[in-house]
Amino acid sequence: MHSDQKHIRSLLKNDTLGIKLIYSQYAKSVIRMIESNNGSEDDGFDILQESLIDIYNIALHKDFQLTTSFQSFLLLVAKRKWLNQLKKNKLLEVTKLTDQLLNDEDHSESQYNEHLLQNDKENTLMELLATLGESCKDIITRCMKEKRQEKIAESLGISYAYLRKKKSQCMSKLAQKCKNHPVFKRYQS
Amino acid sequence: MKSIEELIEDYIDQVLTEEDQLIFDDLLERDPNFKRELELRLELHKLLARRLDPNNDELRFSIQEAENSYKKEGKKDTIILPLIKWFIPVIAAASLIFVGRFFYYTQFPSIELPEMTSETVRGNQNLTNDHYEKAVVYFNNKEYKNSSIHLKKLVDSIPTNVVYNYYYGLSLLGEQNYGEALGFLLVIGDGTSVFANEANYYAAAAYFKLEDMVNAQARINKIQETSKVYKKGQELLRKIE
Repeated sequence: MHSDQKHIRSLLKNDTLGIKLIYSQYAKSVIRMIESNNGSEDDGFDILQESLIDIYNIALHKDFQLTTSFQSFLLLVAKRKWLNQLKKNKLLEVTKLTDQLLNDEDHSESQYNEHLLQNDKENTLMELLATLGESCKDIITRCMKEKRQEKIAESLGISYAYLRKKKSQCMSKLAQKCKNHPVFKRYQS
Repeated sequence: MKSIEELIEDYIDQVLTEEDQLIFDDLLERDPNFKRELELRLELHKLLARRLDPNNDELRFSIQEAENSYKKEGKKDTIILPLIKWFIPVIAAASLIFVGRFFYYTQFPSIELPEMTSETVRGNQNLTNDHYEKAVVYFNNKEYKNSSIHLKKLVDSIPTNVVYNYYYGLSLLGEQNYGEALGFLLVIGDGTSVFANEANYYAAAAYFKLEDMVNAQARINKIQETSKVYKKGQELLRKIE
């Protein structure tokens, strides 16, 4: 087990002191990488936050093991996030990027490939969920967080039967959006 | 009669009636599209349950708190520095009281940085060469704040150059900026360059100064026996133990 696994544990346990230590040791390097690649300091902080959440979600998988330093892994996750953001904002083609961001043969990337791809898939799902109407987003989110759906129906002022019907419609809409996305291509008919 | 979507949701939430269960089983057996739809919906449920877990929200809160505190610390440093000038004599007197406590970690063992050699490095151009040569002079004069300025420019221009990253890490160490120095030294220490052993030794020294003995030990253990810094690493290890 890598000695930097302690930072992973800090995230998994939501240890506030441990998370502060992560910031004091690694925030500058992430922000510097983003700033060197057409981003602002604020972009750097946003990417750092999202990267730590990603690392937490990746670390929830039981088979995940940190095999490099935490810094290498964090920079790898942050790099992918920033490249994705540039792609989404259609800035990738017009941005001069440093070698650090463009290096495709990142050794550590191949070690974590499976986990990173799974994480991309989960992030895509969350983005697709965000494109649903407010009512669908609310119902799906509530139903995932609270198992007693009778309570949810009551708090929304609707019948349980209607909630069930609405939930299945919303999940169906989300599933359809997923099927149209290349990340979920194996479900395309 | 329930729609296919409702049947699947009822199955996933385990609220299928006996009658619907028969319809569900029948569809699953004879309709491959139904089976594929079910697989997708099961996967979506699994992923959503994980991502929408309340622990995720709590972590976001802690991360935001850490970011605020990190930004505040930075600002506090900038505001407090001018004030410190007025209190230098007071601070000096007070620190004498604590000198015994801090002597161990800050003075012993001292980090002796190697000499930075003047040489032509890969990818050189006039501008980078100029920064490199200036960095060499400042670094060897132990004027680390100035050497860091030039080395940062070099690292920014060619982030993958190991020589620039290594000396920038050391220069930051010279500035006693241990956290940031680690950012550079750890990556090199985990790599396979000729600087890997040295980077691990200096990373261990940085951890030592940060009083993180577990990581300091781990870095020393990475130093190969054949390395020039192996002996120094072992000396540091004895101090830690």
